[in-house]
Amino acid sequence: MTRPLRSDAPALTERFEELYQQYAGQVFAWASRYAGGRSGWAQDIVHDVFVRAWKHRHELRDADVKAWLFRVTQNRAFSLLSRERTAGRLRQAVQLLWHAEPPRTPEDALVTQRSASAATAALQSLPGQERVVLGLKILDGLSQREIATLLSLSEGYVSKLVARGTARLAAAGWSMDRDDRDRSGGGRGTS
Amino acid sequence: MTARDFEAELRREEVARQAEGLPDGVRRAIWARIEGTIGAGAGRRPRRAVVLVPVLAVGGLAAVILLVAGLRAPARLGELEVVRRSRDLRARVESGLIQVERGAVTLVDSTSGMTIEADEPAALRRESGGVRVVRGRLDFVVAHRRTGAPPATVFVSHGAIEVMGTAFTVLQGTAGGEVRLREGIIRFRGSEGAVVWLHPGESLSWPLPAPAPPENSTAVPPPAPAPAAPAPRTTRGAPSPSRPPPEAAATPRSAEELLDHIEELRSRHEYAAAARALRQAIALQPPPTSERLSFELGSLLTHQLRDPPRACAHWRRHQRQFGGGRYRDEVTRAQQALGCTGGSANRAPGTP
Repeated sequence: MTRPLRSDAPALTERFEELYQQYAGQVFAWASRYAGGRSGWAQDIVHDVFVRAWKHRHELRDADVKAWLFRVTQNRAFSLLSRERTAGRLRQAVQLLWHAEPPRTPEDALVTQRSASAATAALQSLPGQERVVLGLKILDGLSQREIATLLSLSEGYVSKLVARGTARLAAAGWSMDRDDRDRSGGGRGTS
Repeated sequence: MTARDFEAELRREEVARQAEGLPDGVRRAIWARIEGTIGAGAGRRPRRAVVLVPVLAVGGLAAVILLVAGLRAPARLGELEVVRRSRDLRARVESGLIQVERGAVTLVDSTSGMTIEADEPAALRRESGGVRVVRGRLDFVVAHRRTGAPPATVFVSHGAIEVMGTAFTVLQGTAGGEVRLREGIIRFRGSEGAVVWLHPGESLSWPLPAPAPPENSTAVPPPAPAPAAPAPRTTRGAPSPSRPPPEAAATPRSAEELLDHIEELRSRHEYAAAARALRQAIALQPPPTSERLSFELGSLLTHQLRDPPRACAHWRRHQRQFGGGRYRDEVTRAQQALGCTGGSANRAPGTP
């Protein structure tokens, strides 16, 4: 089902809801890759992405909707994770100062519960930006150039994030041999 | 032992995640939240045109419009939207009180982002700021709320349950009740003022016991770090009622992190933002780090922002603060390239 979003028909809201119903699960799955098991965090992304889609509804072409949602989801996740990294460290620092028990918020508990899958858990252990970049590289088959374009970063920075993330995972005992095949080549495109 | 193939495993897990999908309750709750957000924008639902209606036909047409609107409007019970109902549902609304007498129904309060499921007799009403459970057992799913957003509130007989995004069950009897938390975090605020935080798997009954002596008080947030006080009638071990994790404090971020951030901004060509971030951070870091950051700022002003007056002024400050320092040669070269005058471009390293 792909009808153009561009319409002045009074049923626009209903059509938008159809769009939501069609893609919400996909956007949630994309966001969940990086959520560390925090359902609420992934829900926030879904909310933000579709609110943005609503704002741009007159510009969206139906054929591009999925790619558009993919791009916005990845960018939103990347931005949020960049900010969180700082906030998370601040929280830990303050808790240490207070001699409180180790961080054990409900969200931590959810992380533990839902990140039981080993490779996903390993991905979650990386800093947020490396997480997104490696996710795009491995799961979506994007080249570093494509990732750089998608996230508005320089290729050099993407390359650095990939290298760092790969090194951390290798240090944690994972086999990362396949990484070399995609140093600069084209990707398989978005899912 | 051979190392496991990260890519292969991650892909397998991605397939499982995609298959898992989005639970219906959560899907509805997010949609309710989206509706709330986009509804605030102009022109969400196109209004029916009445301007061109001839005066004599207004009455009749208005009746037609009202009829159509009535038919098109989503099913509602009181102020709540019905998103699912069993065939045998029997419910009525009296003075805003929604009474489910038989069957099952799922209701959404789009204002607060709550999805409420009743599958046995219960009574509830929408109130300012949330929903009141008058009696019966109700399951709640509340869409996650942003930090700083007001909590969704479920009022009960002896207090209120404040929610930032979670799933829980409320049982309200005539003399008291209970909440069981399945996911997330909730805060019970008793009508006497006591506050208890609940973590997943815990439950809390009300009315709460009389306030304990101050040293054992369960009212939170506690002023100091967790002297593990028992909570009233919470189950599953010590619930450690505690304040939520502190949000941003005035602690400087680590240098590594800051430099990563700067690199990211540079990568995006957001040089002015990078300069702002550096300027704010320099004073908060210890000398070796602040020297590095100061050098980064000078480089930005010199090479990326190409702002000679500010760059020269910065290099002068840098030299005053750090003397020769680690970047003496680079600083001198930058000053010469910029043609800084009246400063310290040609001063001996280390002179003020």
